[in-house]
Amino acid sequence: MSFRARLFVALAVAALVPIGILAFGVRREMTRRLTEENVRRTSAAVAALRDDLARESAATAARLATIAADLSRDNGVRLALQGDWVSRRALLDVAGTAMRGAGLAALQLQDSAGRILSSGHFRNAYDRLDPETPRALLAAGGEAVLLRAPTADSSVLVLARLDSLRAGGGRYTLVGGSAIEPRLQGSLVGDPDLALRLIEPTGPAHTESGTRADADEATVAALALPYASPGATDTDTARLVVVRAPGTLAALRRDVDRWFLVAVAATAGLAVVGAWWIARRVSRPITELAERTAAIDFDRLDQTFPSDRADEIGALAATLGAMTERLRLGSARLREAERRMATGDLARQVNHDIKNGLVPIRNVLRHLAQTARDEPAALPRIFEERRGTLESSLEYLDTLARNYARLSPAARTFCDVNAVVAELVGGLDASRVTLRAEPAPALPSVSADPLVLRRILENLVTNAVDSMAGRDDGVVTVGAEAFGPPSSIQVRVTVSDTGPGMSRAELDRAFDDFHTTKEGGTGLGLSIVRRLVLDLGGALRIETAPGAGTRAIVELPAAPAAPPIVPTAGRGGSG
Amino acid sequence: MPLRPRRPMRSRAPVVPFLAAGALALGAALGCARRPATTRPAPLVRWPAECLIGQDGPTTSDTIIAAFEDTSDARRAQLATTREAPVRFDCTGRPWPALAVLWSRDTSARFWTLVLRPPATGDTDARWTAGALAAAWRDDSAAARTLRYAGVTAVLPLDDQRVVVELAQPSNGLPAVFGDRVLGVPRPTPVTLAPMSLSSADLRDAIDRGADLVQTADPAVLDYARRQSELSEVALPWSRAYLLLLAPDAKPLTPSDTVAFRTSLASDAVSAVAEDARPGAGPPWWDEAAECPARPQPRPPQPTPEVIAYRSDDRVARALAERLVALASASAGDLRARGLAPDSFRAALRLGAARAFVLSVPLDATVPCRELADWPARPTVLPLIDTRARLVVRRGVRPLAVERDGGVRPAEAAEIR
Repeated sequence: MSFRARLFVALAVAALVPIGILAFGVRREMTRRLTEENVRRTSAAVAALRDDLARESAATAARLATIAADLSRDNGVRLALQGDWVSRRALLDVAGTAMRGAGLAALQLQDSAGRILSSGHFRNAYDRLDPETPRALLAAGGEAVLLRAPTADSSVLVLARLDSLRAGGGRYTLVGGSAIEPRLQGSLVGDPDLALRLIEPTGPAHTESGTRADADEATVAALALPYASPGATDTDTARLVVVRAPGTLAALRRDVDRWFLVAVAATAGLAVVGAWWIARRVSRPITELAERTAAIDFDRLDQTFPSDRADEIGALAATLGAMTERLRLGSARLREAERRMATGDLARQVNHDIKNGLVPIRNVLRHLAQTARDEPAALPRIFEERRGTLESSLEYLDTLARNYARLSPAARTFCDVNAVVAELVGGLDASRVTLRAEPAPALPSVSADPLVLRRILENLVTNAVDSMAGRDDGVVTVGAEAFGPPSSIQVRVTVSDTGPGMSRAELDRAFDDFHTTKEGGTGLGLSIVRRLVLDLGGALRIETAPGAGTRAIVELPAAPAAPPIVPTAGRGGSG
Repeated sequence: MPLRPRRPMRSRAPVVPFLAAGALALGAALGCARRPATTRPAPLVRWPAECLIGQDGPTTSDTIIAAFEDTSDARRAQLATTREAPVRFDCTGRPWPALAVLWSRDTSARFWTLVLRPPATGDTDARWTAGALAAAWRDDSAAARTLRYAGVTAVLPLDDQRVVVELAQPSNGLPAVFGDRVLGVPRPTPVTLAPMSLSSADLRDAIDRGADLVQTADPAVLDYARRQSELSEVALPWSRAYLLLLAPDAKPLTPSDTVAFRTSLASDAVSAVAEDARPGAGPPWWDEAAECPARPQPRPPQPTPEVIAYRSDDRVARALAERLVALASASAGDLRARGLAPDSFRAALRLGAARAFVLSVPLDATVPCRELADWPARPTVLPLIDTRARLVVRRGVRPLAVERDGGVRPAEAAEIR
């Protein structure tokens, strides 16, 4: 897992866990409090429901008593009850009129045999026999009874009471009631979480009616009410069940969950963005340090680790810079030791070589001196005989001197890179490939011997031309440019070709001594070039890939306080 | 004991479309027809007194504002004032000239010739030549359907004034279909009978708002009108027959179909909604209905709902259905009455989608088969009661004429001379 991923996970956990704990706690506390509140409200609602039923029963009884008194006083009804046919029409409608006037939902006037004389809720049920209903109501002992009164098209559930009247010597029964279902619903209308369900005993099965049906509802209270089944002369029991629908609680839970998810989503989004930003901010200087550290090589110890930070990153940069500086000093000392060792070897070689050249001369001179002392006449002849030896020895020493002269360090001057490049490109015989020079305007000078620089570039260009042997469309480009901050400006010379390029393995061995891929090559070219570049305080690197050509890049420090050189015609080099 | 069915309907092949197909046969028939027996219309004498209302006293207004309890009565009155049938029948059934001034039949009694009123210059009905009338009957789907149900097989205009109608079955009397206003044309002179727009179903409000004419059977409205001296009340002819129609293969209902039973229905069951009701005997045209063409019978729903269906806008039918439910509930506890909107009722009737139906038909139908068009095949039909409406007429309103179908319209000057 990457540093950034770990940082993100840490931030997400740090942000989400508190939110989760908060949501869980709020939800739990809310549920507890609402449940307690529901219990209190349920108790109050059930008590109110009992009161409602009692009041409704008493009100129904009072209305029936009033209706019975009114009917007893009505002459038309009295005549009709005694069989007056003219008044019969009025009798048929009297129950309906009285029922509507009293606000009842059912009213039935029966004679002593149970024959319906007038019905308010079922006007045309007259003359039907229904003695069971009054008997069931009587069996309830004067209490209100739930009664499902049939109508022509359905039925109506009423809270029924019983009354009677006397007229014309007969006794008549009044059964009436108010609609219970809307009444029950209305009694709990103020509490949206509570609902009523009436369970009627109709044989083995139960019919249920109520204000609402919900699979999640819970029964919180139940009332038993006497119930008169159709056709039964005794009462049964219906149950009025108060259920609590988890409406408000469920809605609150849903809201909390919804907002919790919103908070989680927002937090997750912010965590992602924040983690990305923080990780980027934290890891970027580390990444830069890693890149700079990766670029450090024995031949490239000029890396610096500038940082103005005062934290751990700054300390690490300073440590790496100090380490690089120590490496740089160690490298210089090593080179010095190598140089001294080389100088000693060279001195011994020179000593040896000179001795080798002087020995024949000393021998000849001893021979001539012996001849002049012992045989003077033969001296010219002997001189002539040994003259060749002297000359060859002198020639040997002369050659030896010239050779060693070539090993002496070159003098550094302000060197115009553009001029060297132009001279090189113009002087090479490369008819098979195209040579291009891409000088840079106002290129600063470098501190180098133009001959050494030419040697470097000549080697690189020759390698590039040779890499495209057998091709007629090769292109070798020699370019120069300045780069780097003004305080440490450098000149980069690039020799690029369109040749086959090198694999990574080939590149790794390219700088080895005596490694060559060319027939008749010495395998010392790139090794000499690297040494010469390092002697100039520069760096050499190769960028190549199979099929993508090769770019040899030489980076040399600009000469201090050297003004830019305006390109001029002819050979470069300025003093 | 179940009600005893009066008679089941019989199936019959559908009638061949009447127009065009019989033209050639009609021409041949006319060409070799026996001497036509012409029936002269009655001379233009005074409309029968029993068919006139409010002929005495001064007339205070030419425009009559009318309100109706029954939408079919309103529609009938509107047609009576806006359209003119070929022949006009008074409330006794006697034909009177209208668009047709003469009519005759041939000796076979299957070809009837109507001689139309000659177009006068400037008359708005000048375009109603015999050809135009035949074309109108052909192009109007309701007219074409009416003629088809009436057994008319061909209509051929002979010239501008004469149109010949071929009947599938001979008819010695002038066929009542010629008095059907579906075959009528717009009246040349509008008759001023304006329906009152009602804001409530209580026609007492219409009386209070000054309606000149109120047609109702509601006892409460009639009682209210009787308490007002400027209103008079006239009983119209018995016009509606209420029937109990049992769907095919439906179980019979329990009440006995006796005169006492129907008398009880008329006197008690509908007394709250219909002032005038009598035990029903079925419409007189019932015997003709047996010849009506049967139509393809759609499959009834299974199982048939245990309901007695009625049109929800028909209070008499509702009262009858409720009474039947009350009487049957002892043995059919699940039976219920159910009011249906007119369209739903028609569809349920066509499908036989109820155990029984309570419905009304006109006692005097110009085209009996049209009345049975929505009935299921092979029903069992029991007559229940007949009803009639009453007219509450504001004194001083111009005379009204009552036609055979119970339609009321302002009487024309010629009819009250």
